Amino acid sequence: MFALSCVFIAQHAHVLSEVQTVSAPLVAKLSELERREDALQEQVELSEIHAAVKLGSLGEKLDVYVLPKETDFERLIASWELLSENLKKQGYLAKMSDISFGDPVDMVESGVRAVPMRVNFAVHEKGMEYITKFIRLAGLLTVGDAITDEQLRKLMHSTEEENPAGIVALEQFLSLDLIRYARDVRAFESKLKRSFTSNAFANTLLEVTHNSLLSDARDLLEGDYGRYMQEVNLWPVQFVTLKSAKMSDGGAKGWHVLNLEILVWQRK
Amino acid sequence: MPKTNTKAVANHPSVGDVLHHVSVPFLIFTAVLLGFLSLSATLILPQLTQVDIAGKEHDAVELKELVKKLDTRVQELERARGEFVTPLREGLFGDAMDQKYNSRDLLLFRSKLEEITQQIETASLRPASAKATAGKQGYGWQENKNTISISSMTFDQRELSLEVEGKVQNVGPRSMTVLAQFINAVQEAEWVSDISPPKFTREHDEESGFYSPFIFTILLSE
Repeated sequence: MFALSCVFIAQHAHVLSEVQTVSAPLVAKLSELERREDALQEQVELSEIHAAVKLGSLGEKLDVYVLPKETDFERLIASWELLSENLKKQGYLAKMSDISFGDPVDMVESGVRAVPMRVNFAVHEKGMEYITKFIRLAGLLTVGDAITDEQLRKLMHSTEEENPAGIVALEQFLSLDLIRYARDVRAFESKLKRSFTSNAFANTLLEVTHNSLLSDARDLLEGDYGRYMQEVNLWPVQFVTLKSAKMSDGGAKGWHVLNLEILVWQRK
Repeated sequence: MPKTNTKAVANHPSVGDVLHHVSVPFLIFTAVLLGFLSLSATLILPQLTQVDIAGKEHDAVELKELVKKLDTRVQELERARGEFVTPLREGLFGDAMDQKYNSRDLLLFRSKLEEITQQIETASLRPASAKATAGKQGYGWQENKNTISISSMTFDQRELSLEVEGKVQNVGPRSMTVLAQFINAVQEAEWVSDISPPKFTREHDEESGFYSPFIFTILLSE
């Protein structure tokens, strides 16, 4: 009888500790998950409405300009020339060399090839910054393309917390043409912020826009270069990545010779 | 012959006596305790462990399953929302974008190397400054900040390597020592995974005095 009592006491202790360590946190998690499920369900239904139209137009731009089947050399060279002219005008570039192309090579990613492109610059440090920003941004279509998955998660989470219906405004913001955003940052950000009442979302947005390629887009495209690119319809440019870069003394303080080898991506 | 304390022996109960006296109360106590515990196990414990969710009772095991199911559902909804909000993030463009996000920046490495050279320069110029202040500027100890001069950097994105070329100058015959300090400092940087050290030589010409040319390759951290 005593042994049986001991077993019962142990059982009571186990059950009570389980309630404390398992059930109570699970109930808290469950209510949080239910809240998220409701918010997400609402957001999915709202965003689904615009998705089909948006996907069609973005897909078309992607196939024609960003990852075309054949590289549009005229368009590509025009965008580089325009950049070089703009940098010269600002006093950041002394000379851009001829641009040469190699034979296309297969990439690790299936379904793409890349044309190697070589170009040299006699350039000031400030000009080098603009050139590297251009390489980073080339091939990005929308605001959403300029932020990482982690940053996107932060924004989404913030909409869930603040106002689930704000997903529509966020969706419109993320699908904005990158150049349109960069040319009028304040207007588009204000429009998005109006969907949320508290400062929490505004702070998240500020953090994301400052730590992402959106900040580069603003620096590169908000001035004359962005205006020219928009006027002559050269944005979006074809997708490029840097293969190698050599930077050597340019003969004067702050000036360098920059040799670039860039990969210009195209679909197979 | 020792005396036996007969009084003490008579008053001290044996273990058997003790057990005999406490057995009945102990039996009653255990029976009552067992009764209460049985009642508690059948009536109170289920009340404590069952959780009412939407009018339905769940125990801890069911609760775990429910949370798991809801977690999966939330992840599905997140994926669906992602596909609607940023539809091009998957597939070929998504892979291309990953390359873009993961690519490194030559200018960033340049500024990191400059930070290191400045630290080394500050350290190596301290004795020179002291001597200059005392009016005893020694042989080759010039107060020139351009101690580690990097003439070129070649960055290879695929190999994740950075070839650095330049020379250590304006520190007199200590140029090789300063070069070694520079190499050590670069090696310790967190963004460097490996380094192929340069050849340590010291040369001399009329214009630069003693100097140590270098060329080394850094393998960058993933």
